[in-house]
Amino acid sequence: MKATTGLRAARKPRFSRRRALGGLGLTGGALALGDLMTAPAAHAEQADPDELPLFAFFFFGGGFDTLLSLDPRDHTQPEYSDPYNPIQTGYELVAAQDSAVAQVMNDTGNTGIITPNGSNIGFGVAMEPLAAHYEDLCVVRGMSAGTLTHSVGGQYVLTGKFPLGLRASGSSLSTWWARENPGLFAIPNLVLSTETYNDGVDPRASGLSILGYEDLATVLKPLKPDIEPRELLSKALNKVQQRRSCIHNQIDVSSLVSAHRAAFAQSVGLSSGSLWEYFNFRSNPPVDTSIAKLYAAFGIDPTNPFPALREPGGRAVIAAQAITQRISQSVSLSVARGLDTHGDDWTSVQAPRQREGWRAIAGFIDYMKATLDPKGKPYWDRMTILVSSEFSRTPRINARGGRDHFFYSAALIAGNGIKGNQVVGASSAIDYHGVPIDHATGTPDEMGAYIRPPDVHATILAAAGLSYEQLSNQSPVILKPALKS
Amino acid sequence: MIRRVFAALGLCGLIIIFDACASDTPSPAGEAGEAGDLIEAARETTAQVPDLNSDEVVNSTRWARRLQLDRLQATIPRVAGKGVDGKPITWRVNGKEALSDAVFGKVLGRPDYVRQTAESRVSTSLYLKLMRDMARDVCTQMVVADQAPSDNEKRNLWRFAPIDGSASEAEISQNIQYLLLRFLSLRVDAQHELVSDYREVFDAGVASLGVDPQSVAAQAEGWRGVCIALLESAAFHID
Repeated sequence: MKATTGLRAARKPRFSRRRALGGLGLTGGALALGDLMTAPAAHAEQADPDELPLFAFFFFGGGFDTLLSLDPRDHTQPEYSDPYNPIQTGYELVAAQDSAVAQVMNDTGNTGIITPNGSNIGFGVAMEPLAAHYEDLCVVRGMSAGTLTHSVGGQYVLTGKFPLGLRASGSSLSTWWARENPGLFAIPNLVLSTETYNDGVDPRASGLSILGYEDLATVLKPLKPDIEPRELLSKALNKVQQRRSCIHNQIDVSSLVSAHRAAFAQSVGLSSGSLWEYFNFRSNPPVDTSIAKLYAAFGIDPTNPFPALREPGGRAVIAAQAITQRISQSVSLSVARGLDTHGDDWTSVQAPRQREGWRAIAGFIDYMKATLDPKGKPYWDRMTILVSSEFSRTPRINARGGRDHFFYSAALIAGNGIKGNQVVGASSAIDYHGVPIDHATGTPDEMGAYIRPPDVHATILAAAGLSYEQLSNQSPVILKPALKS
Repeated sequence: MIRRVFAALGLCGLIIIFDACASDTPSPAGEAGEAGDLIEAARETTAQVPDLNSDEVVNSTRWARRLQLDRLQATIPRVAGKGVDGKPITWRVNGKEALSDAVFGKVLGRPDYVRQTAESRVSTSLYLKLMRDMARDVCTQMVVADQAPSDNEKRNLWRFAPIDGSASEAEISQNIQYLLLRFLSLRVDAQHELVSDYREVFDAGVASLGVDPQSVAAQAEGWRGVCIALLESAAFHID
């Protein structure tokens, strides 16, 4: 017997009208369910999935060192190479352990700042794979992380709302992005190794969260096909879950039953196995398939793709496939982990892990640009990306040879409606702290305000023509220079 | 022998007058065995609790929420009973407890209290996809287990409706009522809409194999279908 027998018997209706509704055979839930179940059809008539804005969130987990990436300093300047000054680049220490960084130092005249021809952005030594995309990129510097705690910082950049203690506030941006037309996509919001939250948004937009490509077989196929019910029973099973009785009215607090049903309908699609063909990453796929093209675009060895699929680039491959096969409208993925380098592993770990992450992002952008949607336009035209981390790392190297958590961070935005090849905001040349800016111009202003994650969220939502009303209690301010128009 | 007599009397006297939408008093349940003992215990403690559909409001200390993974993991062996090996039925994948962190626990959001301190209490598509897998696995184990004993009282899935083709309409309804009580803790009468809903599932399961509907295989598939439907239902997962 179910352990909660006594509790269930104790739960009683709060409104006598329920008996009347039950007696008449009418249930408000059935009507609500009808509304919910017809919503996709209604939306499908009004919205074209090939016109909807797309979104990708890339997360560097652990707190990335922005001196190596989004906010570098000139290593040739004495104030930045002296270990006793507030800002210490430490590039020579990293170069001693990382040949790719050593090459960059050599190519940049030992400054450690990559500035492609025509670029208004200087990129750090770990960003070499992405630097060529400068025309699309808008770097946001001096962003206040609001915290030095991993979970709080991660939730803040994910939702744009400061957490309540250790509890996330609001929905993930990728969930919010997918909320208007979830019925048009098989997996509206795909989440790969990051957290995801849904706070009052259509449950169908909730993130489908997996850890990596190995989970795809678990999610997209029945675990034991030999015990699957046959068609007649399968249809009856699906049908009975959509029936609504008075007990469902009793427990449908906060629309939990409705959410359950919406999710059940989605899960039937997941279990059918029809999506598996798009994610059946195997060796030596036929050359004209999307999987073969993905391998080529991301530099994956088609004869043995599995090691690469387990890396950050592999998650970018899954995300790219989900977008370009019109399975998802928004994706969230972790592109680097283990960046919390308080110790001397900072010299050996931080740069290569960031580099792999930036390489994955570059591959994703390239694939979005090269792949056309059914209307003949590159997916990139409708794509918005946001790249961030919980916070950044101290500009001074600590006694253990590493860097600790730092309050001011940076972010990268690009894509639909975003003006590229620029930096918005700034960090202090003296102590690397963020500086207040005029949000209308993006330039330092003592009378201005610090850039915060909700400002970045609101900016990219506005650029894509979407509402940012869920951020209203954070008082977001649009970064106007970041907008194309 | 004496237990058989009592069971027969219980069957004959089993008239469920309680309707979840429009009745007044709870009806006695004559189930025997493990589930019956628990029901008896529950009745003793809840005798003063108003009927499910009465106007009397019982203050609840919390909202209904989806089961936590720990609760779900503990609930499955209690509703499923023991397997053919005599051990409690659980959901295992590759020899490991499926809801443990070693298999699906982390993916389903069990908090680690390092990065994640709270568990989502809303059903997601991933959660329900795996619950569909769980239902099929657990119910298949229950079917195998129920085919072993010769005594109906030791069966957990078709306790009141023999699957040798001799089950009457009343026995099938009674068994559905019993399963609703076992899985969802709902006492309903034979005319309740839930009984007819799950009867449709039973009939579809019987017909789905395309063999003699009175055969053991067809009847067992019917009950397996009802079991799956109950384990997938919102009323099971939201408490």
